[in-house]
Amino acid sequence: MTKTTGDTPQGKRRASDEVGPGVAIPKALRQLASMLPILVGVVLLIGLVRATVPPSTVLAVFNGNTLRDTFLGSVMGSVLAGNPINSYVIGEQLLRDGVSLYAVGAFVVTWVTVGFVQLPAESIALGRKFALYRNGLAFLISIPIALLAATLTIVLGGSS
Amino acid sequence: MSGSQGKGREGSSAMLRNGLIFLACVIVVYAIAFAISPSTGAEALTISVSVLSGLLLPICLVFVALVLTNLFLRPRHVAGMLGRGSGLRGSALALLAGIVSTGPAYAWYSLLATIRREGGGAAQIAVFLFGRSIKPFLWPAMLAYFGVLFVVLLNVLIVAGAFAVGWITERLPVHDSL
Repeated sequence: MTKTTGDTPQGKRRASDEVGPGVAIPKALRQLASMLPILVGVVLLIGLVRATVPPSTVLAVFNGNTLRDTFLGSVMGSVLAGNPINSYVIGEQLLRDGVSLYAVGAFVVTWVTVGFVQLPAESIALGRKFALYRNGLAFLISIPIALLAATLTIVLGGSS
Repeated sequence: MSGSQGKGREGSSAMLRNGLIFLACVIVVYAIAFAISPSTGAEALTISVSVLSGLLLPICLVFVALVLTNLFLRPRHVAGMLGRGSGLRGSALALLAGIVSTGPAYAWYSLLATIRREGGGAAQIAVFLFGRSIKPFLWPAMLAYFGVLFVVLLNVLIVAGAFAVGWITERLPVHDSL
């Protein structure tokens, strides 16, 4: 049986690890409070982006070139942010307006996986190098994901 | 105070300081926006309040997750489950956590920062953040908009993409950034 308190160095270490609600709750409040300024800052930036980039501007940038549109879909999804369902609604509207499934796929994936507006907050919380590499990588990987998903959908005869 | 507790408190203080600087910068941007176009500034503020009100539930969930993490997760547990050596099992666990997580990514940064400080791997955090784009409870809406085939293919490819992001992140110089 493992000792949790006692004379052995291992036992002493495990005893010092123990945390009760009296410590865990204030610690959680402190951790959450430390994130609040970042949270409010990101939300304010999202509001500003949504207020300054109207949907008509978004629609005007696509011209039908698969690679270019997929790239632009990724850029758009990276800049805009919010609940994923909003990306579906905008994506469906883009499809109705004649934008390709490639671009819409890239837009939907990067909407959640890449956060240009959240980058400063992610840098503060998880480290600048991590945030830059992760977002860059997610952006790059979202493009082949969208290309492959849309190509297979079109080839296999699904909705487009 | 144990080493990890001290490190955690220092990390929280640094995050608060940097966060306040960031918020101050955003307020300056807003002041400029209001000066240039008061109506755009007001609209942005209205949208922000609406977004913020939708964050209450995710923030409550994050608070509960933080309390549970503080109560039950010790650095050795985190390192074992989600640390650099946790391999495919750790990435699968991170992916699952990302899929079930709700709310925007930035609501989870506090918990993720704590997990990283306690020994969580950068790759697993990256998998978590990428896997968040899979939202089973939104599939009915997604299916209605894009059709079954595209939704199935996209989600399968996102799973593959999440593991690829984790695998590449593991090989990038990001491990000493916290």
